[in-house]
Amino acid sequence: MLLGRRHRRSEEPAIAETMALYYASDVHGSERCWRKFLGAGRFYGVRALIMGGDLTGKAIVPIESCDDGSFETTFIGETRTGRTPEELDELVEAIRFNGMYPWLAPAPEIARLRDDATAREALLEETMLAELQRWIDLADERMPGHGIDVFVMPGNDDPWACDAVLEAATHVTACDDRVTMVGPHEMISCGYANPTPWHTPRELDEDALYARIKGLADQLEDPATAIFNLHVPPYDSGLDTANEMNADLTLKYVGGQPHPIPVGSHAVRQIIEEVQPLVALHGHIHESRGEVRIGRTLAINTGSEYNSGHIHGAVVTLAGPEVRKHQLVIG
Amino acid sequence: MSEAQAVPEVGKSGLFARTATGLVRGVPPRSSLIINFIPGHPTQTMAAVLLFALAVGPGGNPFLALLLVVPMTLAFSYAFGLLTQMIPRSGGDYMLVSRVVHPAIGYVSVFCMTTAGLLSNAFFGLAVVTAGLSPLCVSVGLIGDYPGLVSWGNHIATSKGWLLFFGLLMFALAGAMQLFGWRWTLRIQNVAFWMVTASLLLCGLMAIILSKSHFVSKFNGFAKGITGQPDAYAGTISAAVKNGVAVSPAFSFGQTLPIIAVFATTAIFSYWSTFVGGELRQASTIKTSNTMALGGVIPLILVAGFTALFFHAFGSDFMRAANGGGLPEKIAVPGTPFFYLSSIAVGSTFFAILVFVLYIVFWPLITYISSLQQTRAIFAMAYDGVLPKSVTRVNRYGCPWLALLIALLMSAVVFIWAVFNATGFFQVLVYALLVQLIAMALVGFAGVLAPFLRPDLYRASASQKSVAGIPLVSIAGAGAILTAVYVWWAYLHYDQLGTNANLGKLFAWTIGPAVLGFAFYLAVAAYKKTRGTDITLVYREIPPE
Repeated sequence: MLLGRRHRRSEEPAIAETMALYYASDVHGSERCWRKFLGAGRFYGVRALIMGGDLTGKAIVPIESCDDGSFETTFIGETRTGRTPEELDELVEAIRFNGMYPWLAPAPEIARLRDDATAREALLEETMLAELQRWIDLADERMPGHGIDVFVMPGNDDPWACDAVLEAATHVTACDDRVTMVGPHEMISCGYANPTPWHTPRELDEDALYARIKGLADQLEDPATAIFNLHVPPYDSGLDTANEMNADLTLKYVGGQPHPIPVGSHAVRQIIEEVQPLVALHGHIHESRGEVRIGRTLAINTGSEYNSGHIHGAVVTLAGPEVRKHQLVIG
Repeated sequence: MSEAQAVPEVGKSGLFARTATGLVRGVPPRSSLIINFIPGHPTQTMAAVLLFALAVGPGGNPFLALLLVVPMTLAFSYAFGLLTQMIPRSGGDYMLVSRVVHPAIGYVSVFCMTTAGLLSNAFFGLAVVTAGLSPLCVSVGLIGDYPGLVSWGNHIATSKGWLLFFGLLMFALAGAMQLFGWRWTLRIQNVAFWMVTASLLLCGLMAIILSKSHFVSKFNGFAKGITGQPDAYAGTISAAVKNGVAVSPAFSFGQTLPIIAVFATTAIFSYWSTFVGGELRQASTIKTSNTMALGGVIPLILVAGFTALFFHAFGSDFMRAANGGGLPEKIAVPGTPFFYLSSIAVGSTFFAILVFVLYIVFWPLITYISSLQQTRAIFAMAYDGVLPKSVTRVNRYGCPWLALLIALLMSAVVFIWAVFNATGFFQVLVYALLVQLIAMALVGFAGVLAPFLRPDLYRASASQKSVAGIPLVSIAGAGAILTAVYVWWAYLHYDQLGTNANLGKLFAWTIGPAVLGFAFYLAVAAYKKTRGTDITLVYREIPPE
């Protein structure tokens, strides 16, 4: 009996070691969520952190500065004013907490940008990249000491310029569009989404998306133990339900009401069904948090409520070709 | 529950936004205001609470009582509202208390709130007949001279079969109106709200147009035709006086205190949109708190105004006398609702049918509103991994149908018990307010602590407001706790409120759910641990790096 046990152990593959990871996605510029993401490693006792895309925020909050040092802005439906540096710091922190970027400027400069779409776009990109750089610097500085690997990829909402910031990181691994090793597990990552009504930076039609992911999957040595880090969830999986929209970005009503439909990717679904990886991690559709089995693959969408200051994530413990346990968490 | 839409390039707030995916939510501020208005709807307060309040506090001044209830209402509105702004998620007290204080306390709160909700739902199932259909039939039968209708109206109020039929039908209606998503639900809700409001406005309009002498004349004419009594108006007052009813009592502040506690049974629940906090548009803005405050204060102002109107039109002494059993037996209607008196004044069967039918809509409406607490609590607990994920199933319109079904089935079970053991049920029903106040006080406690336990969340929210350097949410929270303590004291102190006769039962139905909630948390945590899941992880906030 004892010998038998030993015999079975000796036949187990080398990958059978247990490894826990934490996955989150769609923090959309919330510095609080990013810092929590980095803190999740030690908090949950995991070896790897995976950020599944959509890192950058969606808006700048212009703060009007006056010559006398005072400032004023409209934020969360309210006018906020102040005079002291401490008050300004508090406002800036509050804006970042909510996933937006503060921008302090005199009134004429703010007015100029209101009327200049190109300058506004340039300011947004410049601000986004500066903030992202701060985030990555923080991770590079803190995480090596904790012995926790950090994997980050951009999502469909993130501008292309983000890639350079991620690639230049020292400890953070830019994992988009390649095979990386998460402990003993291979992981492929893809930040693209199928077409959305907003025509965001990283979108591909289903055929192209399939080809891109298939190209990555073909590089895997052991697909059965692999992790798929794909920003967009699989089509009609229950992880991809959102309300249908018209081409003009208004909601589509059926029978007088919004019409929830699956909006995930057929390509992602097909590749999961074909390859049957160990686990598939997704974000993108904030309101469709959940988990589902597609064949043997455990697919998870952690959802997002980034502007509440809470980060939605999943702690997944892998052991060889099986998911030992998994838990959706809000931190 | 949320919808995706484009973010504008330059938002209304002055934001510079880029093209990216975004979220808006389904409940606009106007509908949110109506949700908060309904639990304290003045029609219901006038119909069911006012006269009871006058009876328990003879000599008490209802106007002063209403004025003193205003700060209580505001305390709860701002405690719930400011916390909901900080944590704009569905689940109400469970979400607020578990996230700010501790998950175990969140379960104490949700068990108390749900116990009160189920008891209230069962009461609504009874009331649709006893306070709605039965008075409708009796009133219309008397005014229109349909003796069969009077007889049937009296019969259905005591028939278990009819009570079950109409009560369960109403639960089904309250559920059905939620099946097709928020858009339809809110449409139906708003239409029903205006119907109920119209019933009060019509009676108020009548009170403005018609004089008291007109009412006295019409009432005497109506009563004479049935009872043969020549001056039933004066007879009603003198009969009540003979029975010991003080129809014109001298003012007593001491007697005003229990009236405050009675008004609190409907007036301090204007926080109901907290249960759908994750579905409110602009939930993070001060509008969330303000709609709760308005939803509480406007009904109180209307109750004061309509009370004055009806006192003027019918005579306050007559109203107290009629409520105190002074009406001749042949023309008595349960509770003598003002719809009945107004209809007599107008002298129209059609008017009676109209105002009663408009009013009856209140009962499915309040049942739907009440069920939001149970469905969203179930939903939130499943979201946290405590209940099976399967209960979060939504239909193609986004309605959490399984959670709704569970809530209504639990309500139906309590309702059936109420039908078959009315005495036992009504003994317990009076505890509903007190057990609910435990949950409300815990939210107040969360409000007091939120700026200190969750400082980052507080500072980054629109709830960061202070008075004399003290956070407003803490002040509101303290006010909520004090209000809860006062109402508890009143219900224990005043015998006429009917709660202190059996203290053992009282504490079993109030402290019991709290203990059960705590035990449930411990049991779930222990069970999940055996399955390799640490449930405490679901709630623990990650320290930011």
